[in-house]
Amino acid sequence: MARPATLDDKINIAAAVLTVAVAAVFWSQRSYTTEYGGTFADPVIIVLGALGLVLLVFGLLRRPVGRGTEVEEGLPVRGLVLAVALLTAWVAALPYLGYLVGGSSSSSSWRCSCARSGRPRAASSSTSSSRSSSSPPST
Amino acid sequence: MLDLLGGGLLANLAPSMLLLVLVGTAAGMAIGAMPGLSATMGLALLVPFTFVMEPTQALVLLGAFYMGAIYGGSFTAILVNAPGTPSSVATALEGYQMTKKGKSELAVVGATMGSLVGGLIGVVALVFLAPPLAEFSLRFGPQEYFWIAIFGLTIIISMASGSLVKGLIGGVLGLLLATVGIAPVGGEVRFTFGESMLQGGVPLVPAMVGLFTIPEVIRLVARKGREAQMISEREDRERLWPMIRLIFSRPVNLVRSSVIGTVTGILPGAGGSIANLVAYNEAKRSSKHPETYGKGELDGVVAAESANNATVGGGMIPTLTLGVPGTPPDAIIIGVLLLHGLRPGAELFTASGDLVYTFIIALAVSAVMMVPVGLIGGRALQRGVVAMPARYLAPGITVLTIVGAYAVRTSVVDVVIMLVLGVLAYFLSLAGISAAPIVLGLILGSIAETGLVQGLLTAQGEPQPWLTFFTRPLSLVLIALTVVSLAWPFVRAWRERQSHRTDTHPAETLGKD
Repeated sequence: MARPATLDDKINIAAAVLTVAVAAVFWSQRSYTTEYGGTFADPVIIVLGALGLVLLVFGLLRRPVGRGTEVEEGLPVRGLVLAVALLTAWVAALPYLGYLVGGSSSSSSWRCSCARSGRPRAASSSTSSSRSSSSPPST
Repeated sequence: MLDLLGGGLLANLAPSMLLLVLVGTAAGMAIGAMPGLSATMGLALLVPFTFVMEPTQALVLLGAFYMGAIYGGSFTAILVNAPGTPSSVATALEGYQMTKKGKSELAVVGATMGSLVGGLIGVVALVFLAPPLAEFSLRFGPQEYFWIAIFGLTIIISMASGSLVKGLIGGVLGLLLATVGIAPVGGEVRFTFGESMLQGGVPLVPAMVGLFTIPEVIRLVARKGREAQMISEREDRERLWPMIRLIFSRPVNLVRSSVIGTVTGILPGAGGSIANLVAYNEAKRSSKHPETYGKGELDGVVAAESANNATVGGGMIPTLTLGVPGTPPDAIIIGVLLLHGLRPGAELFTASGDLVYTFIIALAVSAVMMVPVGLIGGRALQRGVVAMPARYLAPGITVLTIVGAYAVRTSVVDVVIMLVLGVLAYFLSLAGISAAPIVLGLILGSIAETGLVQGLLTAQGEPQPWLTFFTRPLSLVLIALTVVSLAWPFVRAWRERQSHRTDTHPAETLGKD
């Protein structure tokens, strides 16, 4: 009897679906006008699609296929949204604010976001003291 | 020849020439350390300054700059996972892991010593083996270049430590990204999705910077600073001499990687971006403890840096003897030679022997000069980065990556591409698909496609053009190397299983005997 699907299995299935989708999108974009336009690209798309299907089968069979770096630690969704939003805002502001003003204001926002939102906890290991010394004051 | 070499050595010992080499090396290191500013770009920027110089001085300055720029790329690769040049991709794989473990100083010293040995071996090959090696490089046709790219792709097996399927998906994704834009042969526009900005393809440097650096920056902000260490706060402080002794205690890795770099540099169009990956792969394959690679292995840094600096001397072999640039920066050197009325070829070594040998010796002097400059400047940079709080480090790195991505084509589009690929790389890393195979595919994709299509075009007179990929002697050698590279990890695993079985059941094994 198959074991229940773990988060790893679900991530594998999602990655497989994404891979197959990317291959399908590129395949739909094929409109070569020369004889050798697709000589290299077509096999690459086919291999990518095939690998996606292999990963999908592994995911559905719930076989372990390596694992991501952050899965075991839990995904920091709020922080992730903040990080992507900050980066996007920085890049989007470049044409309007320029590199100097855009860079300065984005850096300031960034430093604020990196600051602690709570008081440092009591030292429980030798590393704690060095951590708190290099961290910004609590906000 | 020895007279000319002696003359070149004496010319290089003049204070003004030493100063020129020092300035060139230091400036090259500074440019190379900036993500996005490659050795090629730096050399191109430097050319106008050489107009007012004597040909010898101009070439010496450019040579020293080139050597320094290739080495300088290792600093940001090691310290913040942002390879300054494509030649430092493999350096980032191990160097940044060493930084995370608090061994960044050892990594910087390893890169310095590797660059020294690689640079010197490349120059020795240039002095003594230039004519036969240049002739040999001309035997490489499109078919061989295709197989070189395929051989390079087998490195994915080494990189895919978690899962082979996911490593392959990353590599093929990189190959697919390489097909975006104008085809290298035929000029067909493909996979642009109607966006004219994608006609130029996915630029390598912004993609590389985004794929490696942005996920680390996202991780740092998402986990609020110190919980997501970019670097270890507890840096291992060691004395310089024991570190140097440790690096030179593995001479085979140094020499092998330097030879790989020299040979790869000789092949026109290949260059340091391939050499560092091939040398890294060979170092891992021949290691007694390959499982330590990808987790901060000094030998990986040394291999990559020896190889990429050896391409400087190696690339000069076809450049000076045939006028065929071995690496992209060599094309600029050829331009400067022509600008000063010097034509590359065998007669260059006889008619302008004093100039050529002064230039060659200057490359060696530059390699030696990298050691004090790198150990002082590089270690100062390393200590500065390690001491910097995360709240300053993350925006600082982001500024560096944005400027680096913008600098290549002065285009905001490249910054957007860098960001999109960086965010994508973060999510792919959640699924266990790392950035390294994607970058590898992106680097090798255009080489493989050019080789494949050109090979088919040149063999159109044959009944089966594709058969030419399997019948040429050099192609067969490369196919054999590819098969060995593919099979080696499985053979090693099988042998380990066998030895483990023998270790755990010695009595049974003896009994059977």
